[in-house]
Amino acid sequence: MELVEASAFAMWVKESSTAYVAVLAFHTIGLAFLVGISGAIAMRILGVARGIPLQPMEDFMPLMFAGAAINVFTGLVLIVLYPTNYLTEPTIYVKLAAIAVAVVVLRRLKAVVFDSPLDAEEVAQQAPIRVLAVAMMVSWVVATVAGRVMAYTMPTKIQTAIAALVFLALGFGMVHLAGRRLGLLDEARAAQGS
Amino acid sequence: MFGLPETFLQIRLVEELIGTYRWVWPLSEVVHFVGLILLVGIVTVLDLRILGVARHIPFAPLKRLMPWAVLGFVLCVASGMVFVTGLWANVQMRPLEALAIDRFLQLKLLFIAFAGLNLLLFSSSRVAADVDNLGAGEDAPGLVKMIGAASLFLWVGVVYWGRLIPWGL
Repeated sequence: MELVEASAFAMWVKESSTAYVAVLAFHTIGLAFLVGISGAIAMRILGVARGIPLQPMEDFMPLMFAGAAINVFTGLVLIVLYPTNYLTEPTIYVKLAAIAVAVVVLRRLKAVVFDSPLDAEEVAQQAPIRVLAVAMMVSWVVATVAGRVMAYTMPTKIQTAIAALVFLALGFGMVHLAGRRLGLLDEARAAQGS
Repeated sequence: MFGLPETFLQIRLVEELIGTYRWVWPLSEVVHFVGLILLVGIVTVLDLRILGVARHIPFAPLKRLMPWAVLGFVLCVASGMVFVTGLWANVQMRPLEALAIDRFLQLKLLFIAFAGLNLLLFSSSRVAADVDNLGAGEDAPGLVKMIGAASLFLWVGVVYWGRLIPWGL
């Protein structure tokens, strides 16, 4: 690991005034495309903005995959720069495991909802598909929280994870209670009490 | 700076919370990221449709996602205010000083302002109604495509400069 850390590439990126921060910034842009677009698709499957035809949403996926490619590349660069720090850090394994689950679920959703000969709208109504959409969003949240807390000490990581859980639970409750009034949920969906 | 008091935008309560509870700052970072994912993800979807991607989707139902983008923006502003008003507790720097020296923060705020102006230009123009009525398979006018491309560029820029802020302090 020390050899990788001291390699010419790693040293160049670390010593450059712009390369290292650009890698970090592109990692965040990739995150926004990957998680933002897959999140929008998951929300549509879960019944948000049901007027949007689901099948053509597949056309947004190339940018989502571009975001994934950016993040794989920039993530590998970050690990190559500081392999000792990253690979001995337990949180990165939580992040990688959450990403793996999200990607597996995303592939499954793509295969079942978009690539299947069945009607995408009907497939999206099925409870297991909605469970997959929730699982993907939860996995992305876990990966995002793990990524953000990596630089902190273990007690702070745990406290932040608990605080984030409470915050998200409150947010979910707020959307459930006031989503229709705030325009977040469709009228019909809110009337069904879901 | 600008004749404002040195402690402008500093809020003692926020500083005390950050100093007392170590999770307040990283939680704000998590909230900022969740907000940016919602905001940029949904704005990207809308801008891509304007640019001609997924043209089988009419624009009106896609706009139903906008409140989620607004929620994302609110989360970013709220968590951003924690960073600004409690900055002293984290890096012992006053908000006005950070604004004066951090070129990445300046660029981020500039890009947000341009993105806001772009949106204002779009919503106050006559083409906004045309876009609302954009049906399945229809293409947006050229001017609207330019506005959509500018929006995408500006919001990606906001994320880029925003991530660099700690290195400009």
